[in-house]
Amino acid sequence: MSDSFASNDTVVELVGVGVEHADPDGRPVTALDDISLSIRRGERVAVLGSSGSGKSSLLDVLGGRVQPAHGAVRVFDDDPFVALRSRRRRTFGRRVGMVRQHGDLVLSLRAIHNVNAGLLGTWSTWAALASLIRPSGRSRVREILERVALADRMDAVTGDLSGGERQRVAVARVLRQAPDLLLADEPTSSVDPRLADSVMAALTASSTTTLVTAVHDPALAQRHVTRMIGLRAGHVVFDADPTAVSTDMLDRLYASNAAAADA
Amino acid sequence: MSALTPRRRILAIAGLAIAWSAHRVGVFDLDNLNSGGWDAFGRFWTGIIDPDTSATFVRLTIEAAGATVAFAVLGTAVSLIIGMGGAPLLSERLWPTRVGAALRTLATAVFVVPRAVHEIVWALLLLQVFGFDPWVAIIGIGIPFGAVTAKVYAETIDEADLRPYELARTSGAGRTSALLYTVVPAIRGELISYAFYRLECAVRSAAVVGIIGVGGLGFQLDLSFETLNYSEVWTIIAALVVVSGLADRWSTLVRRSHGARGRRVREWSVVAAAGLLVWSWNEVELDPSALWSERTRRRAGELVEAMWPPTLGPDGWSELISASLDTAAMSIVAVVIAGVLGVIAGAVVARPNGQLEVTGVLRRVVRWAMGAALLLLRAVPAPVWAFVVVLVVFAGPLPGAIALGIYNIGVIGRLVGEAFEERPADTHDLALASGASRPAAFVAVRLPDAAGRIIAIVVYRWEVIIRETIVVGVVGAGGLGQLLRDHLAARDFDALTGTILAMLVLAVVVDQLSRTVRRGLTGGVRPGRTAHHADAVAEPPADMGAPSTSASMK
Repeated sequence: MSDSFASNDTVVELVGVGVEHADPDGRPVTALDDISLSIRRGERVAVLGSSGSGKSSLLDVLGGRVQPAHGAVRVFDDDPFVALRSRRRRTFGRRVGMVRQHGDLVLSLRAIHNVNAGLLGTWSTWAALASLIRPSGRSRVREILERVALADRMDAVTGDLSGGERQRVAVARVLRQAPDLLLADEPTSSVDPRLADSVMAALTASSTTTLVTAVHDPALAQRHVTRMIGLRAGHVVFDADPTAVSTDMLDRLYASNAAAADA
Repeated sequence: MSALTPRRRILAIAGLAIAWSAHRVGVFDLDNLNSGGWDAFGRFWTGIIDPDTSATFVRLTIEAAGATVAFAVLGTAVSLIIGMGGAPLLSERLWPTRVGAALRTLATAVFVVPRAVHEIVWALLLLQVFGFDPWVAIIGIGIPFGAVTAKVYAETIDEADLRPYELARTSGAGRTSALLYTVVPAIRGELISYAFYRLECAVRSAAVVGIIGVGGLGFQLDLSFETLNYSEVWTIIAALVVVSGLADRWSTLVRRSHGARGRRVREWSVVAAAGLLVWSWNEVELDPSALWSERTRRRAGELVEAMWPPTLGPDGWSELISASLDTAAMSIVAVVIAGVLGVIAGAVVARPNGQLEVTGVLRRVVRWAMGAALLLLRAVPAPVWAFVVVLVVFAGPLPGAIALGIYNIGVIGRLVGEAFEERPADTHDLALASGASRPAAFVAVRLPDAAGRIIAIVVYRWEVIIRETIVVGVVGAGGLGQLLRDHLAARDFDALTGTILAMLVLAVVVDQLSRTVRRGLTGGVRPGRTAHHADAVAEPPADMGAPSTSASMK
């Protein structure tokens, strides 16, 4: 299957990918329809679109949470859904980091422990237990938390943090993991707008990390990414350099369905 | 013809079952009363004002209390090891693969048996292997308690937020480290609370298990009863009440403290329990090598060989069926006695939580006295109540049923009291404010409000009582327990296995009936975590949140 890859630099390759959800009444709803694209190492890709456009589905497919009904997905030359359910889970999982909207944090643990959870993929059981008793790498964690302006909350119980602070802890966790492919689903949705740029800067700091992030705010995306993909009703509407994305294109992307049908 | 709703059908069948049970154990048969025993019965109760306070006997009692506590602590430790090891296997959500499902099915089957067999039966079997060794009590308590703990811990895991666990797994974490790092910290409080509830139960269990001769307060009580020395009996009962009361208090404190205070209470309790564990180990001079010694292995092998294959006793099926029916009838009579009197006692003992309830000194004295009486009832093991009842009721299923009923009033009264305290009192207050008489407000508002919970507690208790009938049987009060004792005395181990299997079947049937009755009458209200003993109604696992047509984990 590796011969389908354009070059060794390709991190993500989708060919004709389709995903279907069941709506509350059990009827199938198309979330992604015939998506083909590839992403190279070091690219920072923002996925834009209104809610229900398929942004989260795309990230779920890349993160191996969902198996597409049609088409093929390759991440690091492997099928992520299969890889995570095979013997390759540990080696594959370490390379892919995720930030999801609700954060997936252990609220009863201190922030430093949740940041260190990023290393669970490389730790033995004993190392995990030892770190719960005496957190490992305090200075490294502090450094990472400083980048998301949260160093002073390092020893706070995560459940006592605000929604925005929790989201930044989740970002810090994925930075601690330092994955080769970083998938982030609206990582700044609850973050104070003043801090959104710091969070995006932290996520894009490493030149070797490939970033795919769903973003709500196009202006924020334009300041930080190298490529923007617009999704609408499961289709790619545009896939372009940030400088080439015009207000007009964005207006059409976010226009209501009725307005789009009129046009 | 009036429609027979499921609810009415259950009530009608329950009524018939109760009438049949009462008839079978001889509730209506006055010939069962032993009029010659009133004298001894009177002497038993007057012993309460004249306990044996001689220095030698008090010292002996304190030593026995130490042994009972040590059995309980070490037994709880064993049950926690089994529980923590078994819970991940029994969890429905941690391991959603086909291998996981297969392991879970296997583990569920393996854990059913230890849950259904009462600790005294385990202890009787272990006695054949270890002789009079503390391990008999410790493992005897640890096995059935461990199986229950595994089930409850598995449910706790399944009810927790598992998203951090799943994320850690997808980023490559091992199963054990992900569980310990992301799930255990989140449910730590619940795990600790339940462990202390187990300890509370273990203290009572340790007293019962002692009766078969392993030592502790149960053993001393048995000796004093046999020599009819009621002064000694009351000294030992006093010790039981103190030990059991302390365990109750500690468990309640841990379970009912919340927030930062709760965390602090739990932390200190864990430290104290660890200290108690070390003390217990030294107290009973535990010898781990006894577990693996050549003698133990040989005897265990012999016992297993002697017990298999199961057979009927010398009197065949009729004996086994008759004993099973006796056991069923005893359990029903006991649950009716305990249910009716326990609910009344629970209403008295509940701390008033409304604005308009009586809070005077008299009310407080009555509540305190009732609390003490309930503590006495449950601190004294059911077989000991059987000794007392046998003084005035001729031996057989009836005194056994009464003894079980008496003991369980103490348990149900406490749980029902807590159930009342946990209900908001607003509506009750409103009724009182509008001029309703107190009894009317109680019957019309307070009782119906808590009814679902109370029915769940009482019916659920039936599942526990059916297992406990074996205990009073072992001291000669009829049913399968007595049959078990007879087979054991005759060293007829094949028939012993047959009797245990009959017990298992009965326990499984009662579990199913109890579930049906609870669902039919309450719509599936759970009796609350602490009322769990042998089984629990599992709620369906929450959706894992993975959408798509083919997201099922392969």
